[in-house]
Parts: sequence; structure tokens; C-alpha cells
Amino acid sequence: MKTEIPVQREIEALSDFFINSRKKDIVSMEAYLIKENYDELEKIFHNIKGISMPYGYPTIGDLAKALEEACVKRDRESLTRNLNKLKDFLSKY
Amino acid sequence: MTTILIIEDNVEVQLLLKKYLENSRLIVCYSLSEASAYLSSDDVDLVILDLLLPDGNGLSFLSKLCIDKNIPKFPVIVISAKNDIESQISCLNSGADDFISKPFNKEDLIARVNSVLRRGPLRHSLEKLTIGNLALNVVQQTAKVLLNNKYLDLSLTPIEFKLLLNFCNHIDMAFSRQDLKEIFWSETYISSRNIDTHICNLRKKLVLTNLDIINKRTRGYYLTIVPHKQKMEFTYFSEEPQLPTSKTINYT
Repeated sequence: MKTEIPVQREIEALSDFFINSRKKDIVSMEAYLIKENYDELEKIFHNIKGISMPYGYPTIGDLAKALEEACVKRDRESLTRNLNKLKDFLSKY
Repeated sequence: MTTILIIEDNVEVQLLLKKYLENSRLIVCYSLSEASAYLSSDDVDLVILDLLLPDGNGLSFLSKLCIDKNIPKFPVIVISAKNDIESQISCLNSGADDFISKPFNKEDLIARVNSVLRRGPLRHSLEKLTIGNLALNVVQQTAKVLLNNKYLDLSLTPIEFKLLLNFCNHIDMAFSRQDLKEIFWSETYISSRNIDTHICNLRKKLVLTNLDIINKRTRGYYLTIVPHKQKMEFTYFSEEPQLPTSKTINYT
């Protein structure tokens, strides 16, 4: 099984696309974090939060939720910590 | 075959919806402006609408659908990761027939789509709206205030009526000038000052009602019930109530 949790075969077939999109997102996230553009970061995490579970990656969804909340609070420490967790998770795929 | 118009800019969500709703004919739009071309079509059976779109707010768009009589009536399901209770209530009050939180699963989505299609659109079934002592007739586009057991026409202009209807459908929900521009003046230019003037004129006409439009910084304009106005006494009424002239209105 490619995904964390079982999903439909047709959705599982999209898992590479999903993971690659998240890896591309990391580049944008780091750039926005350097510029402290929390609004743009919040949008990215908000979107990821909404789609991760259906694609079979609840961990990514949970991390995105924590990252979104960190953006709202402008908590750079939490952002950095959870962003590293996300990168670690994605490195397994 | 059912035709579903999907207004969603996120490619991954689009892919999910295409997979889940593969038994329907799907029209996918990335933006509100792209979707506008399909709204006057009779082919669309259902709209699935995201809230955060690149060219505007889905909620404002939904409000516009409710007001515009030229657009055919079709049900709208809002999908959003903004799933707090307040957002859900706002969507439903704005005319959405259902709200689906992201992340969503296939079975839930399909069940709600079928449910909404079975019952058809709800949002245009309301022809009359009463709030406090204000009565709106959506079909006739009139607004009247009940005073001394008689109805007094507020003589609103068309745009004043539309503004008031929007506010009445979203009590205590604030609309910024930008929101109002997107809903009512998306295809023409209007200055912020002109918007303020329309609101000011509308407020003057609402003076006999127990409602008021408040302007709160960082929030925008919102309509609310003003309790102390319910105890208003007017010293200059004759048998037929009339709109106030230059005389002072005494509030108790």
C-alpha cells in the first residue's frame, strides 16, 4: 500500500502526484517562511489540510492543521518545528 | 445524466471530485469569472462551490446568485476546509443548500449530492422576509415597516433594496466595501465613497425600523437589531405614519 491508510485504487494511483506536489510546496513554504509571509503560508496549509485525508495521508493533514494554526498565531517556532516534521515525513516517499 | 458545475481552483480537489462523481457530467471551473459563463445555462443541475477562490469569495458569489433573478435556480453545495460552525452557518444563511467540510469522503459527498438533487434548490423559495418590524417582499422588491399596525413603504431604490436584502439574509455578518463591490458592482466601477453614500441613504430610510446598519472598523458594514429602537417614540405622527422630515427623532 502506497498510502498511509487504504484509499480507492483510482485515488492511490494519484498518490505520487500528491506527494510530489507536497515536496514542491516545501520549497514555497520555506521561501514564505523566510519572508515571514504568514498569510500565504496559511493558504497553503489550509489547502493541504483539506485534501490529505482523502488522498490517504492523515499525518500530512494533521501537520498541515498544526502549521495553519501556527501561521494564525505567527508562531515561528511551531512553524519551523512542524515544517521539519513534514519534511521528514515526505522524505520517506 | 446529472450535470454538476464545480468551482474549485485546487487541482487535487478537482481530481478527487472527478473520481468521486464520475457518473455525472462535470464542468470544472478554476474561478468565479470562468463559472459565470455557465450560470445562465439551463444544463447545470448542481453547483459545488469552494469558498476561497483566486478571484473572489465564494460566499459573496453565493449571495449574488440569490439576488440575481436572471440566473436559473439550481442547488449549491459549498465545500470548504473552513469548517467552523460560524462559516457553515454563514454559508447556509447565504443560500447554500448544504455544506461539506474538507476533508470529505466519497460516500458522504455522494449522499449529500443525491439528497440536494432530490429536493432541489431551497434558497429562492423565500419570497417574503420579516425581521423585526421590517417586511421585505423579494418578488415585488419592496420594503415596508410596520408602524401603528400599518405598513409604510420605505421607497427604496433598486440598489438599496438589493443591499438591504443581502444584509437581511446575513444578520450580524459584516461586509467590507470590497465584498459589496464584488457582489453588486463586479462589472462596473464604483468608488468607496459612493458605496458609503448608498449605505448612508439606506440607513436614513431604516430609521423607523428596529434595525440599523453598523460600520465597524476592520469588519465592514453589518445589519443588526437595535433593541433600544424598539422603544422609539415619535412625537410628530399623525394618523398616517410618514417618513421623518427635519424634526428630531427622540429615542427612549
